[in-house]
Amino acid sequence: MSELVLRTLVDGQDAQRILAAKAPGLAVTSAKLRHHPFAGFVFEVPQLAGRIAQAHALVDYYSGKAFVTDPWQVQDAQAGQRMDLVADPKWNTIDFDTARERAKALLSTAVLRRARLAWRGGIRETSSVAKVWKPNWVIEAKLEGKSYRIMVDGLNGGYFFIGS
Amino acid sequence: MSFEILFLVIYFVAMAGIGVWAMKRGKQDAEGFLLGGRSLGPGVTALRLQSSSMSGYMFIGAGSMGYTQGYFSMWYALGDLGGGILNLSVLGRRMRKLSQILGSITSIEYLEHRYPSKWIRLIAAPVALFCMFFYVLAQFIAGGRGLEMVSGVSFPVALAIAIGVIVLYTFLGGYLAVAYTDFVQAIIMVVGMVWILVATLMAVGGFTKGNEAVGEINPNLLTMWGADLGYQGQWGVILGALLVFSIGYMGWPHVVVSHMAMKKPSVARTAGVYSLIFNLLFIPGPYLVGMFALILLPNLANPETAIFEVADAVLPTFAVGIVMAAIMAAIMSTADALLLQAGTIASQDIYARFINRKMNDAQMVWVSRITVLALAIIGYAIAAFDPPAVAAVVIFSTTVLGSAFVPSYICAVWWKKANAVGAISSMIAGTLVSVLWQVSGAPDATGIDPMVTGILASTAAMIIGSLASQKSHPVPEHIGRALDETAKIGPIPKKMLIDQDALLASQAEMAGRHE
Repeated sequence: MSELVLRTLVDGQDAQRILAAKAPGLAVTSAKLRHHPFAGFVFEVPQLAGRIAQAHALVDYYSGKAFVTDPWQVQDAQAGQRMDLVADPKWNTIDFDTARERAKALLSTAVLRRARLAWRGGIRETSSVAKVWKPNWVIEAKLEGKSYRIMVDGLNGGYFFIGS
Repeated sequence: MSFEILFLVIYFVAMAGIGVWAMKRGKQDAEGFLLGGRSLGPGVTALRLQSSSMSGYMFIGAGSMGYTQGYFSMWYALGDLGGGILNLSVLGRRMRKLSQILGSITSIEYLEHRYPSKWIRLIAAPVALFCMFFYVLAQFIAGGRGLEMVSGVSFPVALAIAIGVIVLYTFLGGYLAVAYTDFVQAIIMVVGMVWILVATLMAVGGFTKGNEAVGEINPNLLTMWGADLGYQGQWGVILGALLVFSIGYMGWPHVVVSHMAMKKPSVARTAGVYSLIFNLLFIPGPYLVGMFALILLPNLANPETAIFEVADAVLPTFAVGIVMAAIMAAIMSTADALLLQAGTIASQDIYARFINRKMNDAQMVWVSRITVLALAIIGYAIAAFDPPAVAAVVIFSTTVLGSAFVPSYICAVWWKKANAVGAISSMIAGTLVSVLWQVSGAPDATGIDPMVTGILASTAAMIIGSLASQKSHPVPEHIGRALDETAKIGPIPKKMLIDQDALLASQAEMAGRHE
C-alpha cells in the first residue's frame, strides 16, 4: 500500500466545542479540513520477557519530526472525497528514506527508555506506507474583537495557534 | 540486619517480583508499552515528571546547604523554582516550536539541525557526557551516604552497593516499570519528604520557634547572606546561585526536546502548571529540614547526612525505612534516567554518527551498556576514597552545562545571525571558562560565581564568532525560514495558552501559512 488517509476522529463540531470549552465566547467563523502528509511505518518490536508486539510510527515529511502513534484508523475507501492537501513548502522537506531512518531511531530510543538495558534490540520493519494523510482543522475564529487562526488536530483534538 | 535495611530490601524485591510477574502474565501491547501513561490525569503526570527530575541532591546536598548556610541556601531554591517558570514561558514555547519544525528528537540533534555542522555534535556530545557523569557521580555518592548511615558499613562498601543497585536498576528497570511506576515513586518521595518536614517542625516547636532557636545558635543563618555574612554584597555569587538551577537547568539535555508520542496533549501542558505548584511545596522542604537539624543535631560530623539523621531522630523506626526508600527512589530514578541518556548520547550522537553509521539497535544497546558500566567504574574510583560534596558536584555540573549550552539554545530561536561558528565558539568558551574558573579558585578570590563568568564568556563567544563568520558560514536559508515561522507565536488568549500542543507546530505552520 502506498497511500492511505487517516479517519477524521474529531469532526468540525467537535473542534469548535474543544476551542469553546477553553475560551467561552470564542466564535468560529470558518473551519476547513486539511490533510498533512506523513510517511508511515509499522515495526515488530521485541519487548522484555520474550514478548513481541507491533508499533506504529509516523514521520512528518515537512519537518522530519517522527512520532510513535496508536494503530492507524483508516478512512473507508467509499468515504473518500476530494481532500484539501497541504502543499509542499519545499524548504524543510525530507524524503522517504530519511523518514525511515528517523522512525527507526525514534523507535529504538523510545523502547530503550522503557525497557532499559536488559533489552536486546531487534526491531524489524514489517510494512510501510509512502503517504499517510493526517486530517487537521484550520479554524478562523474571533474572541474579544480579535481574529485568530487555530489548528485543531483531527485525531486527538489538540490545538495550536497559527496566528492572529 | 537493621529494620531499615530489611524494609528497603523487602520493598525493592517485592516491586521487582511484581514487575516480572506482570510482564510475563500481562497483555500489554507495544503501543501501551511505548505510549504508557496516556490515561493519567495532569496531577499524576506532574508527579511522575517531578520524581524523575528530583535527585539525591534534594535529600543530601540541599539539607547540607541548609545546615551550613541557613537561609542563604534559599537563593538556590528560588532559582530552582524559576527554571520551571522559564520553561513554561515564551522562551520555552519558542524552543519547543523550533525543535518541532526542525524535527529533532534529542537536544544535541536539535543543536546540529539548527547549526548544521558535524562539529556541533562532536563538541556538544562529549561536553554533555562530561557533565552528566558528574551529576551521576553525585547520585552515586548520595546513595552511598544513605546506605552508610543506615547500615553502618564503611563508605567505600556502601558506595559499591549503591552503585551496584543503581546499575542493576538501569538494566532491569524495564521489568520494574510495570509495577514500580514513577508515580508510585513520586508518591513515596512526597510522603517521605512531607513526613520529615512535619515531624521536624513538630520537634522544634513549629516554624517560628524553630527560626528563633536557629537565631540563638547563629543569627546570621536567618539572613540570606550566609553563616558568617560572607555573601553580603557578593552579588556575583548570589547571581550565580540564582542562575544555576534556572538558566543552568535549561542546559540539561532532557529539557529542550522530549516529546516522542503523538497523543492527547492537554494533560502534559496542564501538568506543567501542576509541576510548578509541586515545586513550590516541595523544593524549600529539604533546605528547611537541613537548617532545623542544627537545633536537633548540632554536632553532625557530616552535614550531608543531616536529613537522614533528622529522619532517624524524629520519625518512628518503621517510618525511617519508608523515608530511606523515598530517598533511594529519588536517587535511583535520577541516576537511571541520566545513565540511559548518557548511553544514548554515546551510542547515537558519537558511535553512530562518527564510528559506525550503520549501527543497528542491538549495537546501540551494547554501546549504551558499556558506557553505563564505564561511568559506574570511573565513578567508584573517584568517589570511593575522597568523595566530593554532593551539592558541589551537582552545582558544578549544572553550571558547566548551562554555560556551554544555554546561549546556543537561546540564540537558536532569538537571533537569526547565530551560526555554527558562533555556537561552536560559545560551547567551547562556556565549558572552558566555567571549568577553569572553578578549578583555579577564582570564585573565592573574586566573589564571582563560575555560572556568571561562564555564561558571559559563552554569550560573548556566540556574538563575536557569529558576526565574524557571517560571510564564510551564512545561516542556511531553510533555517532562516524556520526561524521566521518560529517567531510567529503570539498573541494567544491566556486561557488557551497552557494547553496548546507544541507537537502541532510544524503542521500548523505549513497548513496555515502556505496556502
